[in-house]
Amino acid sequence: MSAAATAAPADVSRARRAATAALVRLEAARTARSPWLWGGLALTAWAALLSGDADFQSGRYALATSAWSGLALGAFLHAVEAGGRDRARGPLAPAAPLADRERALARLLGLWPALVVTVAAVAVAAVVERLEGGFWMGDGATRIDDAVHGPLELLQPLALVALAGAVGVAAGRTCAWRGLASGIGAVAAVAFGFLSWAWQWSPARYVAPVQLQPVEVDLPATVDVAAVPDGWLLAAPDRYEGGWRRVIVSEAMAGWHSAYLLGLALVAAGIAVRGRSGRALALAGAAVAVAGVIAEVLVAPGSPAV
Amino acid sequence: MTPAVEAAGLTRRFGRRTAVAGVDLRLDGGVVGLLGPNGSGKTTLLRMLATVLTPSDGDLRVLGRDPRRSGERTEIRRRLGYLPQDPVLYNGFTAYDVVDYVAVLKELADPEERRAEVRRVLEAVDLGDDVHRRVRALSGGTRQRVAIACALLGRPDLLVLDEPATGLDPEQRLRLRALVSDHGRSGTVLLSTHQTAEVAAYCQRVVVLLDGAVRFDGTPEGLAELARGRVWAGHSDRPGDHSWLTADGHPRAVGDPPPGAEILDPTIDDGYLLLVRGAGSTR
Repeated sequence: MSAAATAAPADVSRARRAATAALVRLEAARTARSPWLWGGLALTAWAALLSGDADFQSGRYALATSAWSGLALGAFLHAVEAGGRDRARGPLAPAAPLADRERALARLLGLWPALVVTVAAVAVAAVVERLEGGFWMGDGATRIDDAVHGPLELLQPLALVALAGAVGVAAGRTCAWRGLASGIGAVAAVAFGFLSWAWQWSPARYVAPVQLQPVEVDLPATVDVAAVPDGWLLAAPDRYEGGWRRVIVSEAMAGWHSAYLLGLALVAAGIAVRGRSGRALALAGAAVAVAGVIAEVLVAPGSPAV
Repeated sequence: MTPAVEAAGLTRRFGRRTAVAGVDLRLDGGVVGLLGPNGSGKTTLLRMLATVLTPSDGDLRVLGRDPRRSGERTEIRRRLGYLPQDPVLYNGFTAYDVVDYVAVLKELADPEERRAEVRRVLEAVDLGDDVHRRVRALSGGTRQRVAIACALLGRPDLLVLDEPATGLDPEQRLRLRALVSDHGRSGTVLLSTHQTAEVAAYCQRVVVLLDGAVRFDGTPEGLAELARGRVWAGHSDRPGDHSWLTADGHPRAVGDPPPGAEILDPTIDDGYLLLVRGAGSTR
């Protein structure tokens, strides 16, 4: 019959931790098998191939970064599905000991295969661009053809996928219509991801989900391009810009932008987890995001602080 | 021995409507059937006992603990199996994956132990080759069996089943009877149903809920005995009486028998009818 068995609190929390870890493993296995994730990777590869048509200085360099929006979209769509599982018709096994908070946490942590796939894809991309000799950057006498993305720039795809996954879980848990959330995510991936070049003006570039490098700083109309210091890269006037610009890859700015994205990911994770720990996570994330943006502004090329 | 359920004055209100009104209930083991018409408060009562709904008023202890306290609620849930009236299963998962997922939610973290337990409950509900089919491709009855398998995970001390026979064919119902009565030997099972035949077949005790209150609490035989002397062979048009033709074509009526009527042995159906239709006094 029902003799009330008592377990020590330590055993109880150990059992809960072990079960949450097992749930993370189940969620991770589903993430690794998700067609959305692999479809997103294929979209990224396709977009990277298309970026080969960007035949202007820094064109391929910049668009190679926006191509990661495909993988981010794939992670988002999978995360919406995972996060929204208990939303549509109510929770599975509502009287099970692992409740809402642990389930949300497991769905967030279970996205790690998406990050592993991203790290592997970024590593492959970094190797391929180095094997191919790099990208064209700068015009005229300053032109180089061996520009490659630096380590801090390569962090951005990882932060972007982390953000997309966390936002997806939060959206799945809070939005009653998964289809609507997925649709909005797809539109956002196009508007702020594949078309990210449209948001690279100050101050939008500091807060846009995808930040492209290099940054261009307008030079005075009187500048003598033959007399610029050694090592400067310049962009010539074209049909969009009437004057010469200095072309700068700012690793520091790229690094802080990734910190900003990770801060936003923590905010989304906090919204997904809810409760007191969720609020703490969201607050910490907001602080990281704000600090990231401030640091970006301070280290941005052309900033008075630089 | 701690009772599986101890409820005193248990009440649940939804706005101005009272779904469960001051229920006193103590469950000490065995299989208990919960009968009542639609809207009588059965599901609300079961949801409170299963810790998924907080009572508005009254005292409740489940497996010796207070479900209103978060820590104790978790301890109850570790020893509880619950089949909701409309169970949610993830459509994109296979039946095996759903049960495996629920096993983890029930803190069966060790992979070997979990695999064995999942296999045990799937065999118990006789899912056969359907275990590897996606939930969205399963029939209603098979989905119900998957949900029952989920409730059986971890051999819970208290099993709360809300209309477990829904969608099951006769053979599967017999299997469910065996499962439930077997479980009732070592623990407590509380199941709601509309089928008095199920209650008569394997419940040691029956509780009838009407308008959120307990109107009968006793054995199935006791419920049938309520109608002793009020079931007769014949037809009646009087208001409050109920009559029908039985399967073998004989008229049967429940209510106040006319003088000289041939009195028949009552069944649990007759007792239940008298209770819920208010045909005369019931206690």
